[in-house]
Amino acid sequence: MSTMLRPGADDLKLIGFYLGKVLLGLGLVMLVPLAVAVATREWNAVSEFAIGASLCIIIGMVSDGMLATRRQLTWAHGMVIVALAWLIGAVFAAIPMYLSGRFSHPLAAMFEAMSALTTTGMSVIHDLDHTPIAEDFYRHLLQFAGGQGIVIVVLSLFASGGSRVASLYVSEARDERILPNFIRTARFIFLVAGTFLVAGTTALTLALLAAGFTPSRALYHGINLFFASFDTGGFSTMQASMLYYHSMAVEIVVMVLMIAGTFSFGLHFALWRDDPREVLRHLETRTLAITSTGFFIAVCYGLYRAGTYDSVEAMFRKGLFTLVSAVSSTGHQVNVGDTYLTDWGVLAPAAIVGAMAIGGMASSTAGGIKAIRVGIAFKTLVHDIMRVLRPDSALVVTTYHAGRRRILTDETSRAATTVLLLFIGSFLVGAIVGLLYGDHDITQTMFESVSVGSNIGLSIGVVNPDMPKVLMAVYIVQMWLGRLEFVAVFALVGYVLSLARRRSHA
Amino acid sequence: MRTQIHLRWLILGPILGLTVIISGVVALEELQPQRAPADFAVDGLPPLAIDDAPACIRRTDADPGDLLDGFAAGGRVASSQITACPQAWDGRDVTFIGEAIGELIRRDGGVWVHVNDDAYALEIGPLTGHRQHAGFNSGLPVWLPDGLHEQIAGVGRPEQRGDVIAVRGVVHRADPDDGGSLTIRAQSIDVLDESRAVHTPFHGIQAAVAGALAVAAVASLGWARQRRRR
Repeated sequence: MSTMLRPGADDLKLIGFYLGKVLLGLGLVMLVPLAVAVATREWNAVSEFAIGASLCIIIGMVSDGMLATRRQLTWAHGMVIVALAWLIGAVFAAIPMYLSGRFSHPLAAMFEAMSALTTTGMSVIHDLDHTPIAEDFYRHLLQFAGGQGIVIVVLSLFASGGSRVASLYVSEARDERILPNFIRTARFIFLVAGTFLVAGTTALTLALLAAGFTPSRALYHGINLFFASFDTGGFSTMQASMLYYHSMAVEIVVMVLMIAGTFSFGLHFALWRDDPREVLRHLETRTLAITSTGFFIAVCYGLYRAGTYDSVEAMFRKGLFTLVSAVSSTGHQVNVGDTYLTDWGVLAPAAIVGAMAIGGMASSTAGGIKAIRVGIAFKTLVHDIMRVLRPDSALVVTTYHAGRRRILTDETSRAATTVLLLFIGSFLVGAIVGLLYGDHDITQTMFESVSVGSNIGLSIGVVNPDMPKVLMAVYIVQMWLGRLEFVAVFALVGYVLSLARRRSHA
Repeated sequence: MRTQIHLRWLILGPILGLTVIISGVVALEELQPQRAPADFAVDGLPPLAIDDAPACIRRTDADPGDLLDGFAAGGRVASSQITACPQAWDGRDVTFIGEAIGELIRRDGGVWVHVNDDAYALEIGPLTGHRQHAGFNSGLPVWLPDGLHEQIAGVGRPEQRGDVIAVRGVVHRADPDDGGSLTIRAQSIDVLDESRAVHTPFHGIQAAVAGALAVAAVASLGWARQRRRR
């Protein structure tokens, strides 16, 4: 027991100091929609963002002035800071949202903020189609901030010392170090995001112009669509989501961006170095290719059996887009409202649930269990079968390619399957709590729970502005857990318990 | 003892601060100046042709066409009724009433426009300057061929309620000319209520609070810089 954590005042000061930095960064993010609100003369929105940004900056500065400490950041601190940063960040990000008057209660605004930061894309906003430009832009910008990992982004800008920031980077569920130094890794992430921002927004704007939009509206929709697609967020400027655009060209560009967002930054780096073989050999790429092909066949067969579409082209177009939206954990919809439930039969939505559960790649903006864990779990299964089938004296070695050739160890298998099981547990809890209200059946609550827990955003109507508050709170926790892949949140719980024990002993 | 007090304040301080901030934000939101939402109610709308539209969740047995036996061609229908059972409405001649929203997306031979038939469109107006929350927007995409869309003068945007139009047209469960989307292809339209600007009352108290906090934020920047120098 003597080795148990005993956090003291210096630990809390250190945590508060770094949380202040994150809030300072969030405050600076809010200055961008504030400038947009000034440009569009949306004066109430100006004051909403001024209040949000000022509060964040004041807290950031006060913590900088009062909580500076010489204490070194440890892994435990890193985990606690990251877990709290996403929670407190969502609270403060919700301030301008709630002041907009478009949310039923403060918890709904926090749901929207958590959904944005975790790039889930589930929305509970009232009357989105008349929402002021600056407020809508802010929702999308938050997805960009969250998708790029606001904690690492902020700390790589404001904090010094790569090794200290390393613990925060890993705590944010980005365990793939691309470059030797974490600051350089974070800057490479900026570079990738910046390049895609320019190229993606340009491509979307051109596609929207070709689709019949005016230049200013094409640019507005293009920027928002980029944030929602590349960061696999899935928010939309209009309630009709992708259906609003009636354009195959727009859908193709969005699909490319969603796939790019699904790729880990390590694979982006491989492509950057002109090493496409690395992409093809990687276990995650192969796992995603195999599972997505299987799910696509199931979706098409399900749609064929349901008789939803008269033409193969329509079936492929709707089926493929929805599948990419699910696998990438984006959540853009190409169907009206609840027609996934009323017009897609049984098999196709079930395949979409499977795709949502797996999600994209580790160390990307995508959510879900992640392809690497599914691949490792499968390799573990094959490994165990081989061990049974071969003589006792035989040595069974299983390898996989992830950056380099690696031997499958018990520790890797256990880590992958543990997180996999935790995700499944999260899906079940969300589905059961949804059932308690009696408004939906298990297939509906499971669809929604998987979508929320995997940070996807596809919805068949369980999530809505008037949903029960307890269910909303459960979904907020699911989004938070899913984004941080459990470990950092469990570390926070452990830290709080240690703190309580210390106080009770004092 | 002093360490214990310090630790207590490090825990309680942020919790108290957060409580004050959230309370202040809630109070500010409640102080928003209001307008009368009833100003935007569209009068004289015909009633929906049927009250109980079928829901086709995973329906695989009955012929969905039989579900609408009582529906007369050209009757008014809501978007929620169509999305609840698209196969039952496929090929039906309907009247759909709602607000033209977003933009007229121009294509060869006509325009696509999204038409919302939710409460914001037909009853209470855009959610600006009032607190009547009515949930998500709901509507359907409508294809308006050349010769029809010219009647639309304004579409719904922030601070504007768009033209409210009555569309007479045919429902397509999976429109082959729109990649399989659920659409209505219009044969005629009538503008029932012209687009109107929505006045957003200025929230003076919120602006004053924002100004005060902005000054405090600038002051905190200077204070932190001085403290760091020391």
